[in-house]
Amino acid sequence: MIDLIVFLTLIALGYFVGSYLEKRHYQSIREREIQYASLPTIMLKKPLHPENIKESRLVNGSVVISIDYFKRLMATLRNIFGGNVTSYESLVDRARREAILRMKEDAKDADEIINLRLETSSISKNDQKGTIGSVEVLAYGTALKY
Amino acid sequence: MKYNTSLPDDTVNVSKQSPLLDLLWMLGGLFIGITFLYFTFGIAIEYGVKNISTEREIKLFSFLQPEHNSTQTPSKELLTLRTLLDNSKACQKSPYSFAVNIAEDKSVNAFALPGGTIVFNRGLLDNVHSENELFFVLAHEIGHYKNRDHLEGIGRAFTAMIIGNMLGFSDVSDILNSAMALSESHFSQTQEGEADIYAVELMQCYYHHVSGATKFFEHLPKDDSFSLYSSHPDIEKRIHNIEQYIKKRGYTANKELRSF
Amino acid sequence: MNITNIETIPGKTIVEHHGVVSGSTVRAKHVGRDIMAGFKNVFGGELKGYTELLAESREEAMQRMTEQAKSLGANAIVNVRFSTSSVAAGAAELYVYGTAVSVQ
Repeated sequence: MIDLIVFLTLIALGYFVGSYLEKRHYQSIREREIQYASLPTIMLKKPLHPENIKESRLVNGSVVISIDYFKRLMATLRNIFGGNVTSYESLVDRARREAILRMKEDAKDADEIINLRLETSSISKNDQKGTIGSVEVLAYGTALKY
Repeated sequence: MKYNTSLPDDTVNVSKQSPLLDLLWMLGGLFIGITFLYFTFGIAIEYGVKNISTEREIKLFSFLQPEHNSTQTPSKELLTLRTLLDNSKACQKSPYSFAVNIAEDKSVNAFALPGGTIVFNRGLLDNVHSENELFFVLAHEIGHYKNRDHLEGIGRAFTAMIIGNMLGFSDVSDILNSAMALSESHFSQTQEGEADIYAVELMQCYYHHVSGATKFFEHLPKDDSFSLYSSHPDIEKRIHNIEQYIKKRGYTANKELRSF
Repeated sequence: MNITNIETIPGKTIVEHHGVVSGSTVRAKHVGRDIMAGFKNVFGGELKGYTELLAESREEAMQRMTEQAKSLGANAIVNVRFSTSSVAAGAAELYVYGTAVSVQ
């Protein structure tokens, strides 16, 4: 009985606190995206002005975001029924955008970032194989100064 | 090449449906699915199992029998139980060769497992004050076998175990315990009454009197939620019925009780 | 040491290739980070401990790759790629690889 109460409390905590933290994170992401919108970032290898490049360096940004209890419960249930695991969608979306923003911050004084690449890996807890505990996204590219 | 600085629609990667609604749908589906499986599959198994012969049943469930060559020396209670079983074999008139085991569980209960293994809980042994009372409980369990009551609920318990395993509960002993509890508490009043009658007859055959038949019920703890008391309601009624039966058959019930 | 993830160093020409260089580290997390992670696994949100851990490991892996390139006599590394994988319970391997070149 106690187990059930603890379980339900964790789920409630996960849902309410988790969605609040997520909303706050998204707000911060949106603000920074507007701020960095003027820094061109493309996945092409061809720069905007290939003729007058002064210097270049590798820049990267990474973040590790963990899932909350509610999301994990949803994913476990989805494992039975199949279909879109909608609870993880916001997780990887946030992680991806955050990683790109951190990379842009690393390249604050640059004029452009080319050849953007993303690497995602899942980090799982020791005792649970298969379920993810958190997701790491690494964004890296070459920052150019004209 | 020109660079356009406007930002795209950033909500395309996250589904718009409410997660709570999603959860509700899935839980609902899960509940319906499990209930359906439990009843259809479980009842089907029970029907099948009840129709197999006793010999087949014994062979099928022989894995539940305790090992006869275990290295631990059997306790005094276990030896007493085994002696009672062996000495009353002629009176039992049953195709089963019963085996008995003791579970170190404080609740007051005894189980009739398929195949002929009877399990006594430590809590029950602590509540027994004479050999006659112990014999009554033993005889009552044997009575359940006569009516194939012990196969009741086994299908559903088995299905519960399978479903539990599928969902990830891998602690089998937990499930076995709850399955045993489930199967024990489903005997109807008629089944209990018949097992009681058989027990009385067996006692008469073995001791040539039935003293102590109802003594056991009289000192059951009445507040333990998993005791025999709660899973077998109307104990007063049972005591009354047993006493009526004894009177009808004219058995004596006032002899000395053997200590235990 | 000039490091980029495109195939050339903009504004310079590659005069010599020195082959593939790589650097890798395997890092394990310590108990403190694990406890925080367990906690965060209820609420969700960023695992700062892990982020730092992986970022440091990446730095170290890049350092090792740079050293290797230097020892070959290169002055730039192009076409750099990263790869992360978990190798044991609680340990992650960070692998950086690229082509070491000499540019002018």
